[in-house]
Amino acid sequence: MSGAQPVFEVDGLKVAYGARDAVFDASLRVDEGEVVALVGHNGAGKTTTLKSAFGLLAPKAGTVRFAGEHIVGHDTEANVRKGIRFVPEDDFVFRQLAVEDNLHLGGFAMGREVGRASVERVFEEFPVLAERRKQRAGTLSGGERRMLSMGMALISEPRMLLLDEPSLGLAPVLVRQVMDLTHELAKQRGLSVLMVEQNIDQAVRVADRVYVMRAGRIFLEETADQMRARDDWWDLF
Amino acid sequence: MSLNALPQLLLNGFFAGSFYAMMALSWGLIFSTAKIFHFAHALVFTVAAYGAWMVASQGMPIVGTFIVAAAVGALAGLAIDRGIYRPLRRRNALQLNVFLASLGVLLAGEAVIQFVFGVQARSIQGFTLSPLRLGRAGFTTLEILVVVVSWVVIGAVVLFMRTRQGTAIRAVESNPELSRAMGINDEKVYRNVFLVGSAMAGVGAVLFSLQETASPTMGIEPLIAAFIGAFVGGIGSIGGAILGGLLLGMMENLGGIFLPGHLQVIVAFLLLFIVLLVRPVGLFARDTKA
Repeated sequence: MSGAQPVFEVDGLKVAYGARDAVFDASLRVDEGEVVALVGHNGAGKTTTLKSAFGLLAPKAGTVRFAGEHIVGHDTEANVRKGIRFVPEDDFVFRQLAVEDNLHLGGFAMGREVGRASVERVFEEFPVLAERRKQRAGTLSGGERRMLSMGMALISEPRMLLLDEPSLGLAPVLVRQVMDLTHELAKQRGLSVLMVEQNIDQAVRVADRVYVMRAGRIFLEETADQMRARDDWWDLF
Repeated sequence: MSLNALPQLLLNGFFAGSFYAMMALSWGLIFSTAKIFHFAHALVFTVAAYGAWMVASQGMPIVGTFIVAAAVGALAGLAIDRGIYRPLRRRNALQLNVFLASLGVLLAGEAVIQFVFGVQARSIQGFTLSPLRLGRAGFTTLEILVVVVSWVVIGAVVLFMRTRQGTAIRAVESNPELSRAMGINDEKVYRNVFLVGSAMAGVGAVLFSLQETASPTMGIEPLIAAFIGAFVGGIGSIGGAILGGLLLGMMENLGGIFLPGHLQVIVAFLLLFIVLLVRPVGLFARDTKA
């Protein structure tokens, strides 16, 4: 982890919604194979930071680098093709479309090389989805939908995952599963993960490093070990 | 009119409904994907009809006339999207403002067509019709052409919607935000729906002009049928638009039992009004977001 090249670097990011500033001067980095959690209250600017780092929102200032290359101002199509994936916090599957179509759409930006074979590979990884391939995604359970959203991101074999509240709306046992999967993707396949979370216990359990955000500012960076050593972290928020 | 006319009215309803189904699908595809109340679809229709008239009057065979009309329609639709809607989209214009712009383009376009071609009606040459009978009901080879062409086009579009590009259209239609997150280029998707929807309108324009005539204001009537069909059937539902259009054609003609021909448009708006009151998502749309 330490000493590795940063795969993903955000520097001095400023984002505003109209006249209202939402993120001030956010800087963070994610190394190869590292799980980094960005935690904080509702409205702290976590999702905004994640979205503008990915190209879904245009920041007012700041730079984002992926594998050494500047990516601010690039569209999401270009960023997906480079190997970055973003999974939104809700509405992360196309509910009216079949599970299979959802996976194809996950690989759409990659062009024709991500096709049927890639879809089958995801089905092997998530057999529960294979059983439901023709079903509309809206008929899946919350946990299955979450797995599908991960499959839609993994189908393009990305290097960098941006996860927005992957625990949202899931039962505790499923939260653990999603977190374990995230950890495994990083440690076994070398993916780098930046996740925004409100479920701090679970995020800190699998993370290597943690950034804490409040009122649009990242004011603390600690290793997950340091975070775990705290008696409680309510004073941080 | 008495019930003796019923077979004839049903048949007429099916002829009209087939055309409306194609028009409802073409307009509904654009509306549900680009979220634009595309009033200027009527202009696309008219421009394509004049394009068809120009080549047909030079002796172009009917098949060629259809192809030219589809191409002219597709280009006209694309030009309106690129020239009018896209700049508004980039400024995050309100839906109402986009609608006003669309209406403006239609009125301006009609004026230009009138200036260039005059107000007189033009008929498209190239198809000789002969009468046919089925029991007590009479129809023509032209009506057969309308039905066959409409359903072939509808079938082709339904198949297209299952392809890669078609799936991307359904994705943007159902969840534009997630589509962007997936790296699906929405501008390309808008381009595709305008090309497909407008080419369909072009084909429809030839069918319409063969039955009636081409004139500068010809596009309004089929436009109204198209959006009523799409709303009655259910926005965002391909099958809904098709069935909505078909139902509209049937109802209008069955309305002939009670109403003289020119009042049939009352049936159309009555149908729309009742659906909007009772089942605003449309008769054939899926009820839930699930």
